Amino acid sequence: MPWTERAKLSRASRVLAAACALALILVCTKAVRSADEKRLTIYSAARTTSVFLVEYNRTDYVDLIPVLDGLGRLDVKQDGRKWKLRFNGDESQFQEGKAKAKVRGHDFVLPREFVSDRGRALVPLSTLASLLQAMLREPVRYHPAGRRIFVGAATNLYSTQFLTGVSPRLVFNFAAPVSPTVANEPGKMHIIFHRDPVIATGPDALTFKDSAISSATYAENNGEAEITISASAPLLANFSNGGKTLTVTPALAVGVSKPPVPIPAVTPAPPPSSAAVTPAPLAIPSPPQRRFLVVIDPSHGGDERGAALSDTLAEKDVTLALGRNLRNEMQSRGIEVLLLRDNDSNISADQRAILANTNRAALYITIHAGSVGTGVRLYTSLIPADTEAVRGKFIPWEVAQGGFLNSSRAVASTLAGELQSRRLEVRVLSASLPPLNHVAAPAIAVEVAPRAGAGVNDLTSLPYQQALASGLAAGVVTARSRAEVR
Amino acid sequence: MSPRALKVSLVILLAAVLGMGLYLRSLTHRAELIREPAADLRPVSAPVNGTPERVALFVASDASGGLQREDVQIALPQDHSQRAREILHALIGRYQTKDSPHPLPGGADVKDVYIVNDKTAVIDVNSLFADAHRSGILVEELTVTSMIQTLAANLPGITRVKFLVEGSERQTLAGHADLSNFYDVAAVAALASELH
Repeated sequence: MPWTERAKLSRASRVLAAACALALILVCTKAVRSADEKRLTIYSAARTTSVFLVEYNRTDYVDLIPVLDGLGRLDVKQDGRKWKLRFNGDESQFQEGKAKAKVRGHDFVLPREFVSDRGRALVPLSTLASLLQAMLREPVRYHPAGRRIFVGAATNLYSTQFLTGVSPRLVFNFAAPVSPTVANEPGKMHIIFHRDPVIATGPDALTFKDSAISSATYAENNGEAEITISASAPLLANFSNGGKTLTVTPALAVGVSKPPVPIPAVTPAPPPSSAAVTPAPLAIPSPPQRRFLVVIDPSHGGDERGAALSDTLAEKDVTLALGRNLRNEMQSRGIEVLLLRDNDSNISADQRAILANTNRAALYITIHAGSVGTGVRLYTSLIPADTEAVRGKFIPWEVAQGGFLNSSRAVASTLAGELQSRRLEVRVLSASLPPLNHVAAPAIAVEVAPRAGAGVNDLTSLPYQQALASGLAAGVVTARSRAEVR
Repeated sequence: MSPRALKVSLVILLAAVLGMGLYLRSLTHRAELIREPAADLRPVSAPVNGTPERVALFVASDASGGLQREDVQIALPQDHSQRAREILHALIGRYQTKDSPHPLPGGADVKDVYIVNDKTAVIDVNSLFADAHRSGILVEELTVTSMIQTLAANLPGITRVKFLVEGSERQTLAGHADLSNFYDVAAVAALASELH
């Protein structure tokens, strides 16, 4: 064969070999693919580890390396097809393609073969619990439905208590502090435990004979635990006891109360025109209710004390007292009120806006107190002028107040006029204050300071509080009348 | 050598030893004095190279609940970010004087100011600035507004201002003034005119 032809043949065979190798790699790579979003969570006393599962030959596999890495000291040696894992001083050996392994000197048979894939030591998920138990020398429990593994005593048991009464409460008592994600949707609250080894002690599904809260269901899924609460009203979750107690209450039970005397027989006051046509940032399927509900929000609360007005006086106490007075004054004038905080509890700024929006507030008033300056300051949102026109079927959360800014300014001006007529010092300003921007309704903030010449204790004096509450309530009545006329 | 000459030599030698001892002691004392530093003269901040310029500070006043314009002369570098930082240093320094109309905690400082695309200013303050700031809507608003207004007055073109605390985002300054969003300079200017 001539030399040139031999060279051509050699080149062609090399190309063919490379193509075969590439195809083989592709086939092998395709065989081990990620099981989309399938997750396993391992809880131990030291830490919680979440890993994604890998599907190989229609079986769920899990990478042993990150699992063991989260549980103790791990040294890994890979010698060709053999893997040597030294975990907490004990050696275990696995070989690619073999179901037989050695764990701490003893034979251990896997239900399927061990797979080595791109630096991952994959073992079948179904055997992981027994494999871990052998390697850790600790009891290991596996919840296959939820794909959750509990090592040793790493569990956080909880009990559920339902307290009936005027304001029903669903109380969850956990053995250790929890940090779940709380999500609301119409008619449901989801409490999702991503990293807490939460396990229910009672039945998974509980039903309650209550018009507000109807059921609570515990479920485990994809490495997480979740409690779903069904309710007919928006719910509010509060943590206490250092994160070990979670109390869920209907938002309306927090402090909403209808006026003792029904509104005189006039046409029901519609909310401001913008509120009637524009949905709140949270989608609520029920049609807008034609009522005039004022949401009063005493700021701060719980651990969040607000301004230290004196050594003994915290802003949160002044705002709560004034909030209660304002509620009474408004109710006596036939105005329906939702008091967001009627005790020393903390509500996040976002939750305050959500409660105002889901209850379709006609007016939102947040109350603050300060020691700088004198008199009353009324604030509307400091939102850029070009966002004022934001209206439509969807309102962005960040600028929900944009479409209501003119109404808010009108209300602030009305309230200022009423307070001035009562010889109270008033200023109207703008402020970038959470959560004003997120409220899809006319919204104002009231900051009360002591009267001129008086000390900070003036903020707690009954005559001053009464004068403020009475003036603000009268201003709201005027604002409502003006809204009706429009 | 006669015994008398020996005695005289011995006395002279003893006197010399004594004299040298005293001299040594005085030298040691002088060396100790030289070793004691009069003051720590190490530089603690980079020198500002620039010519003195007139700068408008919008100084907050707790008494009036408003802003007051004060013109001062400070050396300003050419770089925009450094200029912004020096201007805000002058304002913060004003708030830390004994007769401050709007006291800020000692040690509160602006760590850096970043100017992005000549339009956005990012002010990074230290943790003490926020942690020890007095709480209240007005008192926090005065601080934020005076800083933004001062910056905007001296660096035309800035349209948005963002605050960071130790390089990280923070929800509020001290429980009230929102630091999570950008401040619109035009909206703050309108507020500043309300506060005058």
